[in-house]
Amino acid sequence: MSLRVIKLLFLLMNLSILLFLIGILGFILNRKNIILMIIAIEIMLLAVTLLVLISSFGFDDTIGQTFSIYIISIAGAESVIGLSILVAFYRLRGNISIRS
Amino acid sequence: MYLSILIFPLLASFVSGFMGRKIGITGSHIITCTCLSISSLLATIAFYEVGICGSPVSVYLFNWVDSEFMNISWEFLFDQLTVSMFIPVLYISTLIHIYTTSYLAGDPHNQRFFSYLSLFTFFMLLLVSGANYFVMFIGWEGIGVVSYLLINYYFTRIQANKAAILALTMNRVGDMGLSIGFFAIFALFGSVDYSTIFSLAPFMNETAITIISLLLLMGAMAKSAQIPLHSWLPGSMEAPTPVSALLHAATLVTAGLYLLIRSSAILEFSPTALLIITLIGASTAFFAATCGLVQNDLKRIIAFSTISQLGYMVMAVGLSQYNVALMHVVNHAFFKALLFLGAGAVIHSFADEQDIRKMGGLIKFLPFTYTTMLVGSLSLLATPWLTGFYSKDLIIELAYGQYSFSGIYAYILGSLTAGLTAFYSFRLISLVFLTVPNGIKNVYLNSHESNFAVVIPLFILALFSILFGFVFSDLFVGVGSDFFANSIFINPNNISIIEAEFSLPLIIKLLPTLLSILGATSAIFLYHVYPDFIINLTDYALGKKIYTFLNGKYFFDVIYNYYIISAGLITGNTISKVLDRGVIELVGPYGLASVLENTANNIAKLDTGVITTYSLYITIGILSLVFLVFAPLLFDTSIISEFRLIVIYISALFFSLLPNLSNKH
Repeated sequence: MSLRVIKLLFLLMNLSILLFLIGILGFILNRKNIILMIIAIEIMLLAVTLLVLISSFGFDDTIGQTFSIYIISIAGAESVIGLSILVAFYRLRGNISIRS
Repeated sequence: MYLSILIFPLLASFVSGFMGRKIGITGSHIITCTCLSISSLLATIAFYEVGICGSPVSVYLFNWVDSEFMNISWEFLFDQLTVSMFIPVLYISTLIHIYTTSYLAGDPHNQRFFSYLSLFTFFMLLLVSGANYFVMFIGWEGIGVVSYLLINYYFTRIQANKAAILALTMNRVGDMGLSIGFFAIFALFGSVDYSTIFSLAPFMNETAITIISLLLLMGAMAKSAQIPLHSWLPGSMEAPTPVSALLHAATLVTAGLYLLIRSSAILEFSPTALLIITLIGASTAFFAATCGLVQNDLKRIIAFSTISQLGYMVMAVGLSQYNVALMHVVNHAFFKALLFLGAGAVIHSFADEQDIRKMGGLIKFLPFTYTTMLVGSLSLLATPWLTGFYSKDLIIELAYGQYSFSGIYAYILGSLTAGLTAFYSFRLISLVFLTVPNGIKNVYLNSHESNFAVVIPLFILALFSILFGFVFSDLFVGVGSDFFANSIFINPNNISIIEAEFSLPLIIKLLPTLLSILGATSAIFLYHVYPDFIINLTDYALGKKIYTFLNGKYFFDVIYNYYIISAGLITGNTISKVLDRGVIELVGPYGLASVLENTANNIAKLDTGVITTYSLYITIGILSLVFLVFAPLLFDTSIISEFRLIVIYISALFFSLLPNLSNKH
């Protein structure tokens, strides 16, 4: 593996940690909007997935890449469930504010 | 058998006190008198076994405080000293129980009274038979409490309440000293057992022994009414007369003497303490005798006489003649109980009048009571060959026989006191029995001799007042008598009985007796034959001043009331406000509770119910954990500093959660 590729991988790792940080901060600092929270959770999940993907690529490990595909599909399912809960909740209560 | 002596009065007290409604007045009379009689019979046997046959008994029951550091057991010691104290306590208690059945016949609270009397007897027996200072202290406190109850027997009378509280508080002063004394004993000897302490006493630091002795003396001063702490005794004459006879003449007040005599092995190693004891005793004897000269209450005269005689006993202890002191305790118990019971009979038959100025001429109406009172008085003023003579006269002689400053001081004051004693005793006799009648005619018409329950105790006590000294003096105080064996220790340097018996000039030996006779005759002359002199005495300014001074009891009460009690109350108030309800409460219960409560509130505030806050906590937690784990990589720290980091973390957490005092709600 050439040096350029390794540097690129580190860059991507930094990107994924940055994404994770953005997700966390978005989750913590957000006070009202529950959809934003779900998005923040998704960002965190995808950041972690990216990290998994990059490290497995770095280690030349196909299992990690396979798992990242699983994670992405499960994340899609999870966000679908979350959003459908939100929709049901909105029908029931009339709003989706966190502050009850 | 030895424990039965103690148990019988306790059982009598329980039965009479708790089941008084069931057994009735007569039942309580019968039960208490029977129990006390059996107890005195057993005490007589114990006196024969232990005292005369010389075989002390020690009864161990069980451990009380059982730690490695401190071992106290319920143990009883029946040695010569104990059984010698049993005799007056139980005999007089029994006689007074019998006397009271008639004396309080019209009272609605007979059962209560008898319960108290029996309980008092039990505690007194406990006091004299304990084998360590703590068991003794239980008896000591017990008689204090029962004394309070008995003085306050007529609890609806404000004077009785006041006298009872005075007696209790004044005794607390002494008890405080005594308690500190016990602490000091434990600190020095590591034990409160008599046997341990007395065998170690010779090897201890003299200053420490002196301090302990003075603290013990403080307890004895309060109980035995010595000079700074005496004023409760005249006040406690508010109690019914049998109580005065039992507690405040014969037994309770001798508890202090018992303490001093029992502690002889400690006192003997402290000449300073002995000197102070002598001075206090002699001063008290003289002080009380002079006060007794001008009292007008029949019982108060005898009360001051008691204080005076107690002064003699303490003086004898100070001269380290413990056996003589004990002899005087026993003798005094008999004749003073006789005097009090006689006085009670007079008061009872004279329409409850106590003022001797309103009596007179009772010899025609109460010949038997007069006889017993005369016997008691003669015994009290040490008429040769009566009971009092063998101890009181000997104490004065022994004082001179010491050939020391304190001895001479004691001798002079003792001799003067002997004269004064004779004077006030015969003043009482002449004012009550001899002079022209000064009372109301109806009262005289109704006055009569008491019935058998009163006469028999008086008769027996009169016999004891005449014969006891003659029979037992050689046993107790004879030259070279080894009756007390190991129960009393007299330092060989301090033995002065030989000098007192064989080397004193005749005039020194006869002086107290001569002064007594002089006092007695002058009292009869001044009050009976030529009363104008006394009456005119208060016309002069000096005479008036002296009278006021003596009648005011040297103004001890005034000084206490104006200076000590108010200062004490102010101090108590300050301490209560600043310390008890102030600092201690702020730091202790209140402060701790509020700190915990505020911290809990602050922690509870973290629980906002908002989900993002929890995520923040989780993030901070993970970050700090990560930091903790990787700190060694970053800072190059050792394990110890890692531990330090944890401590810093936790303490930072704690301080951040601590209540912010400024914005407390």
